[in-house]
Amino acid sequence: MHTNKNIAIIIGVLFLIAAIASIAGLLLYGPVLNNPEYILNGSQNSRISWGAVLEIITAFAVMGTAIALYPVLKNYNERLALAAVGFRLAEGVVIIIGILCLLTIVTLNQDAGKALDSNLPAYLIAGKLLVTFHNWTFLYGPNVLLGPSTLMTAYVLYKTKLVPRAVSTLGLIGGPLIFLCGVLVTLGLFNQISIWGTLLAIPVFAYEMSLAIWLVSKGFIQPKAVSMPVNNLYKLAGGISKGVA
Amino acid sequence: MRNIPVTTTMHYPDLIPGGEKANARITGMAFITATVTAIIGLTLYDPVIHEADYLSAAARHSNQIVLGAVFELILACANIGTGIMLFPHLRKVNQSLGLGYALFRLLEVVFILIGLLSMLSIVSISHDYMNQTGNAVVLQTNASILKTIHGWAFVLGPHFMLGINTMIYSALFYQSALIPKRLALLGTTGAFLILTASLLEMFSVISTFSIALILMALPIAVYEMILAGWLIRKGFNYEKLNGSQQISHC
Repeated sequence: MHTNKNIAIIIGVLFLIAAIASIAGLLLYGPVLNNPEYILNGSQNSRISWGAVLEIITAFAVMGTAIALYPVLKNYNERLALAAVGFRLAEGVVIIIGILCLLTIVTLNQDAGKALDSNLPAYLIAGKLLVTFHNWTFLYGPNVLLGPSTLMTAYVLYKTKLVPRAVSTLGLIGGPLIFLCGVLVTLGLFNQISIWGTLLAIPVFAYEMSLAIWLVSKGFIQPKAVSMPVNNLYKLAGGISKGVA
Repeated sequence: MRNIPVTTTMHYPDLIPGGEKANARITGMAFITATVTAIIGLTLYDPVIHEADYLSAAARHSNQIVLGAVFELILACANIGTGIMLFPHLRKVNQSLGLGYALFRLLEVVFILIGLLSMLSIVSISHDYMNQTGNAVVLQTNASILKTIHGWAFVLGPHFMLGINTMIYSALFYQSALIPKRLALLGTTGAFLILTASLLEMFSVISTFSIALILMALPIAVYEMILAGWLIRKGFNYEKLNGSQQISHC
């Protein structure tokens, strides 16, 4: 029971860290993302580097949530549990690729001061390319790849009733929506930072935050074994005792 | 984790009604989906891969390239699917190699995603090229970098990593006889050939989208399709596996 509670708190805290660090990272990235000439005239390199640090914390926290959930989920379905880890790892890797793009801009920004005037247009386009690449990673990591892992985790949580179904239902809705959002943005129907992009992201955000707060404050729900019919009790004894241990 | 009782080998009923038969069918479908979407994706990418002036080609066919990226995304998901569907079986033959297989599958997916991001970025650049915002020569240089990255990601993901992960699971299949041994042998042969091909590509002996490569990739493609058909029609030979009393649960 004791260990149980700790794992729930760790998972909840990792979800909170991922959310906070990603928002803070994005805010710190502001100058390089919004100024197309940052690579030539930008002067806030240390701010961008701090953004990169926060994003790497995001990536680790993202991977951590799935790894910490794995022992809990795998008792219900080993394959779904592993798939959730797989998609979360892929999401983390894509986030890290995005970090490398922006750190490359910081490096080139330091070089651009020493470059010949005739080379400056090349720097501008290289900067634009790196921001473009980063923006695609920002769509594919935290949107597209987040969808399947959210759906799989929420499905298992829904079936096992380890958290209230109001929470897991949000995930069942939010996972597919955030994936759909990413595909629609790829097809050019609307931008990621737009009303539609935000609307489609709200359920998954609400799911992650409600799940995190529930796990930190209450932990996983213990099954009320006493009132169970013998048959169900038998299943729960196998599934839950291993799951939450 | 200390207090796990001995009875924990019991599991919830599986996700899919119908148990392992249905799981084997899903595994087969995942292999077929992966192959089909990979071929469609590559075909849709054709203007960028084969046309000389691929930046204007990318701009003209931008919807086609983007659709190709969506197919590659489905490919990535199907590939993760083949990884996780096989893992519970492989784990019982050899836990470390089973996890190794799943991780090398994941690395293959990561390289596919890098290639996909490069393609989408080429499309973004091609619009600047057509609107003449920015120096055309520089835009072409940048696009050629992205195209090169896509090419290398293709060598390292669907060739090199595929070779390693196929080698692992086919060897475990051969050892456990979960599928007919002759089929598993075709798998290890195909894996060896694609792995060799990827090394030849790295040393520029053969080129990535050439006939020689298609020939070296053929056995593994044939193997995956036979395997898929076998899994859909017959499933795994569980009775060959030691400790088979657990298998119906996972």
